[in-house]
Amino acid sequence: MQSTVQSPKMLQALPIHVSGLVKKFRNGIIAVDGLNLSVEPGQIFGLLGLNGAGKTTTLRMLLGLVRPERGTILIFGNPVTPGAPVLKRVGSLVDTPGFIPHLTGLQNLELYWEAAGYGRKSPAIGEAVVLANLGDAIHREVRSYSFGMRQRLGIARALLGNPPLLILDEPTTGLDPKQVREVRSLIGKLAAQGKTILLSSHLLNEVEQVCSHAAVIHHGRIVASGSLDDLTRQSNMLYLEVSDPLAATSVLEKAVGVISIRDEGSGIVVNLAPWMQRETIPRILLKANIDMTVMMPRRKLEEAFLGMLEENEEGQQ
Amino acid sequence: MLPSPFPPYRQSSDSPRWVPHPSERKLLSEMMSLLHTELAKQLPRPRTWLTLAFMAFIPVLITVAFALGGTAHAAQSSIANDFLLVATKSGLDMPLASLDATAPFLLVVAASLFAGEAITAETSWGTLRSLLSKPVSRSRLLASKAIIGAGLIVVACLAVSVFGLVAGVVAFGWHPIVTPDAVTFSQGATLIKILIATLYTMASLASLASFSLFVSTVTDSTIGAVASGIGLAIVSEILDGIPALGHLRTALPTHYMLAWGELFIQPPNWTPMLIGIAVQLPYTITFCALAWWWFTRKDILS
Repeated sequence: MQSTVQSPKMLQALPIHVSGLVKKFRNGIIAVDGLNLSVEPGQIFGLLGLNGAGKTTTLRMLLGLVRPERGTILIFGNPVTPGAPVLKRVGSLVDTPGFIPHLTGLQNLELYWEAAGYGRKSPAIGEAVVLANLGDAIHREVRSYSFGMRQRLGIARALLGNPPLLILDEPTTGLDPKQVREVRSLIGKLAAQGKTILLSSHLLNEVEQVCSHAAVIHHGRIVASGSLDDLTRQSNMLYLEVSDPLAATSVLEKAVGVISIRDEGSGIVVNLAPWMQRETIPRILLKANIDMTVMMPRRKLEEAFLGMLEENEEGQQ
Repeated sequence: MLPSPFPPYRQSSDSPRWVPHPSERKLLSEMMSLLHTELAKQLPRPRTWLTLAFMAFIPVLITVAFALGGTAHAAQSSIANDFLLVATKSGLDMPLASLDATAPFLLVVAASLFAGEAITAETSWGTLRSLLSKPVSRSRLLASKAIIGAGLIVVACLAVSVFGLVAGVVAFGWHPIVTPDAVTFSQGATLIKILIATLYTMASLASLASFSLFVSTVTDSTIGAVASGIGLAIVSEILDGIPALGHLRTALPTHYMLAWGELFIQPPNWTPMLIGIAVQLPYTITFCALAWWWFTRKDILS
């Protein structure tokens, strides 16, 4: 997403505004390379990317855990540095949730909340306990918890104090299908309460089901960003059913403007460059004496995502 | 009438009293919260109790060994080591013999453990990233961990002395002590010297503990951080055993570890203990400063 000049008042209203963010690690790896991102109030914003694309590093920089080389991070208009006061307004779940194993779930929540500068016996703890929905297990040592229980406790911890912005890194990883559904429904409810949620995931169907907006991150850069409708519309993909898929693949591969072709059994999916006219495809096939019975645009997020990555790779070459 | 250039006379009821500024009060309250949470994390840990129980058990074991086996006759290398020669003469010798036996290794292990786990334990539990994603000052977090770690080292040293004293008095009685040089010290004087020897032992562990603390901010490995303090002590003791190094040996962090033995000559020689503390200070300040510098700039990746 392009960074635009915005007034301080506008930036204050923006839960997240990131511009020109760069992070290069000591081993020379550039994890984030000039990233620009804005998340507006009330959005459930998905950060999509392959493993190693720079999602988690970006989230860590947003939380002051990792120092950027360059760039600006503003949360509600305030710059983020390690331990910045504005982090009070952010709840987070980064990576797998960690807890002190020899303490109970409840003690973990209490100590975390106290260390974060709030009272130990805050009403927020009770609300988080209800949300974690762990029953009597909340009084058991965390070392006896299953992964799913830890994840629920982690989400409850992120929601302590009812923060207006939530940053969740792969929140459904390791959960069973029922728990995944519960977490997704919880995210929906939180968004309905007006919270802004930034959620990273490599699960496209998750983003498709949960998010209103998304950005695709690749090699540390945002390659596309917008509402899900916009993103799927950006893709120039066609699904074709032809008389001879092998011959069609061979012909189309040679055509200028065709980025990639994938065989889907019943047909083929052709990823076209954004400038390529779709009407060109039937003409090419007709010239090669290949019959085409079906041609329709593909608007699934998965297709759009893969298409964007391929386009990006081709652009870099 | 012109206003007086002087402030109004302060009544006795307005006597200057330190009232913390709201920002100071906030800082103090944050520090207290961090200290409390750190203590609440460390106290229920089995490793805390096992280490402290072991430090209390060793003097009892030494006492039992002396009660069964009698006094040693081998030549000793320092005045502190002399207490192993006379340990059965009075129960008051036993805490000194225990400090002498535990300080060069077991107390070093305990100090390295309590200091070396400060940050690495949080890293291995995965709690550091969640804690630091809130407005928690890294400096204050490190300070709270250093303070609680130091407190546990103090308790470990006290456990050696107190259990040595109790076990010694039960086994060998409450008598004045007589050093191998035939100098006699009353029970009261000896108790004070035991206290000073214990406090000095705590101080002589400061450089090793602060080194472990520093390494715990650099590495994610608990074993590595703990082993670093022990390793530094071993290297220091090896170098201390090379006479060719001459006066350079006096700058080693463990050289003056048993200097409290000089309290038991007549008149007591305080100089080695004072030099010992002077040697500890630059090491401790440097390692603590490095720990702070690294931790406040570190990327939290695990």
